[in-house]
Amino acid sequence: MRMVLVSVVTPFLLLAQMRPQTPELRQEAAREIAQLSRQLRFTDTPSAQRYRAVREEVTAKIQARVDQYIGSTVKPASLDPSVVRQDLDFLLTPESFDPEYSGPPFVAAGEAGNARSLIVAYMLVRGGTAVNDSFVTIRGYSGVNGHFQLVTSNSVDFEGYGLFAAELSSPSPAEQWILVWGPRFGFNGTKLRTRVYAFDGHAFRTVWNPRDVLNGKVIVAGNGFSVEHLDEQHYYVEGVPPYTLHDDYTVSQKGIEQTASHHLSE
Amino acid sequence: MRTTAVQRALPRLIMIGMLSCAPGFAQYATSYATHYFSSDGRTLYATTTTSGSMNTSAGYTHDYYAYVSISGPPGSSGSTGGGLVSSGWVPAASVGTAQSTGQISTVVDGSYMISTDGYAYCSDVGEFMNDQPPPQGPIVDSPVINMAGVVDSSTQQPYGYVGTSGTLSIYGLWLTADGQDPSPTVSSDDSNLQLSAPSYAGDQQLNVPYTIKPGARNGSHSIYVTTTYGQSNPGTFGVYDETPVITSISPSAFAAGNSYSVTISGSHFGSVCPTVSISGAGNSTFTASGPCSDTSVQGTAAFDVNATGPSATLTLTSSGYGSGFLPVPGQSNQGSKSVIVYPLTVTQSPSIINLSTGDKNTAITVSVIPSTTSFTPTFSSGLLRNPNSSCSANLDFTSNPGTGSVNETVTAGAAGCSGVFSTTAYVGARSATGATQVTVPPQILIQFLVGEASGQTAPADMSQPAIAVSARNRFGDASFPGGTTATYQAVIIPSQYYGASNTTPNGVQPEMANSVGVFSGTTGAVVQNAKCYWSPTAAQWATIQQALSSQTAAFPANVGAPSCWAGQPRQIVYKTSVAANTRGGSYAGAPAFLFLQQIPQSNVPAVVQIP
Repeated sequence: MRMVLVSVVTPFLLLAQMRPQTPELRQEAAREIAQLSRQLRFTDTPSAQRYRAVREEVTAKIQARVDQYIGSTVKPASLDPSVVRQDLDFLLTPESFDPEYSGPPFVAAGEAGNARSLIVAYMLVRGGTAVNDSFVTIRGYSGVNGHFQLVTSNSVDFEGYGLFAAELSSPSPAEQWILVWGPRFGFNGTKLRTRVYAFDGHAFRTVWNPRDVLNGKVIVAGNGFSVEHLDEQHYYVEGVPPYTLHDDYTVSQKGIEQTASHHLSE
Repeated sequence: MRTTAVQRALPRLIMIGMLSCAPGFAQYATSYATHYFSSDGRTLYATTTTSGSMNTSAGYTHDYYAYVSISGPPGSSGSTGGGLVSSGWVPAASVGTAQSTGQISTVVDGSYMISTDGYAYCSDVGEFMNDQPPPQGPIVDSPVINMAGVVDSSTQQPYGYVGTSGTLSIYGLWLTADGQDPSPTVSSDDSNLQLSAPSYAGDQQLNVPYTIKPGARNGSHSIYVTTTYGQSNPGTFGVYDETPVITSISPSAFAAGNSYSVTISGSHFGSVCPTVSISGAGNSTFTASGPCSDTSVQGTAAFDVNATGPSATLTLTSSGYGSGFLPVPGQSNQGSKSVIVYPLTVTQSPSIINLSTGDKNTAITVSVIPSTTSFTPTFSSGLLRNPNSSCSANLDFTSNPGTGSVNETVTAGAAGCSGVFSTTAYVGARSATGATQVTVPPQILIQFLVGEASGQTAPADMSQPAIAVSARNRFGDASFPGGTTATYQAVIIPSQYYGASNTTPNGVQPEMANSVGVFSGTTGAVVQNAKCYWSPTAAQWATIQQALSSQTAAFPANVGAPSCWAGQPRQIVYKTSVAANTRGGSYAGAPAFLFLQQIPQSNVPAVVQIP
């Protein structure tokens, strides 16, 4: 996670002057999204009922508005992921969240499907104050006629979870690979979900779908990543330390391969 | 009264006759009697009228008399009367009438006799009498038994009992033919009503020993007296069955729900085995099982478990001596006696049961006093409450028979359902003193505690109650999944709790007891308003301890706290009675659980400590 943040911040500083000159469009979209987002929060039971009545509809409107903004402002030929990320951060400012449980909007550019491609992932904060009834969407765009057009999305796997994401080195030049993870909101402790998706310019393919782990932490490094998590068998069943497992994974033509697993000394 | 040539007229029930002076005097006299009942039938009136008419020479005297007497059975009273109406020397033509009237109450049952008399006296006309030629000496006729003239000499009652002996007193006229037949024959219409030769014989009374043997026909019998002058009218004597009398019952005290061999003693039970019933003790029964006699019956008395005491009545109904049972009118064929009945005492234990829907070996012990009682208990359960649960359980009980005490297994279903029940055992309709409170917590609560904190089971460790209460605190909070539904089944779900995936099927301890405490509400707000928790590592705990010590308002970062109220004012609650994590290792020394609660503002300590 920390490495991802570093890799994001540096390009952002370098490319700040390249932001598209669409302040009016951005302001208008931000205002509309902010207005819609207010319907996605509640403070008591009556407002919770109203929220649940409009949740899907309003969420869809926000997604559509983001898609519209990307389609109208982001040009495949001059795609700058950092600018897009900055814009999304601005558009979704009302939905900012504690960075310990979720990251900022994720943007990754590529050439999936032999065309300019774009992966965007972001989380909408919904629900009450105690638990984020989050909506997490991972969206794939493809450059068509000078614009990015939404071609696929996955809004199911991380619903109710936080969102962190990182690019992985794709073993296929026609695909973009991303690592996505996040903790389950409201869970007592930390329950971490991790997925690896491949985008071929048309659809997302789930490359890696492990079960959720407890007290998990993801570390992205080199051509792979590591997951540290609670060894549930040791902790809950055997009661014998050490309790923390460190698993290393690499990206290969076969997919995600576990290269090592060991307990951390305590 | 003059005494010459006087002949009393014979008594007649109704007499109409003619009196006449001697022929040639052209005089005559008549006498007649009448009787009638009052309109209500309760009084009998009788009148004798004597009328005479003389036409003779002066110097003759004349008297006209009329007399009536009415007698009845013992206990009745009547009147007699008579009088001289006309007397004196007869004038040339003398006409006179004498009349006498009597009456008697007919309230007493029995036979009544009216005797009337009337005569006229002519001093010189010779004797005369009504409708009978002058007899030549004493008048003798066939025996006549008076109405109600046959009684037992001892009781003076016109009946006797089967199986008894005694002496009949027979009253009447010419019973010995005016002494001419000193040994009259007395007979009955039933050979089992045996009559002996009179022990005393007078013309108006006989004393006859009798025996009423079993088999004698019940009811009215005819008694006849036969002399050399013939057979009498039938006298009436009743044969009845004597009311049975119970003098003792052994044993005389009984307990509900038990059976006893019983001997009933007394008299007049009959030669046919009587029946015995038990009243005042529910559906208790008596079944004759042994030989019976006129004085004893044996059988088995089975007392209903529902008998409440303190007494019951055994009633013996005689079947007589072979000809059915006919009591004296107004009397009964039943004899009764009261006995002591102790109600059954039913108890049950224990008074409190904690039960999982997966438990199959939990029992309620039902005991009865007396301990000799055989019974099969039943149970009645009422749902007292079922807070915050999606479904109510049902209780089922085995039905094992036992004597004195029996264990009945109680189970709850359907799986996962819950409730707090009050259960009462019954033996028959007799309920146990006290009840058993059966608490069935939602199974998900037990599973949750097993999954989350099965290692935190030290007696003083509040880990399990604390995390269960934190889950309970989510009820009513729409922010949490299931909070609006506010049931354990809706709140404790795998997306929120690791332990919600546990599949423990039964009521392991101490998770069961802790679940019951939280479910029933006996475990209060032991973690304030915390709704989330986690198990910190030792390193995370060190950071938190620093915040606790410094009383900083800044929420410590990277301490593993769950995302509840992330970005909102929130507070870590350290409950000192939650023991250190028993897993050790990287968790050694840290409390097994820390809790999170929302706070209204962020300028208060980020970590607080509670007992």
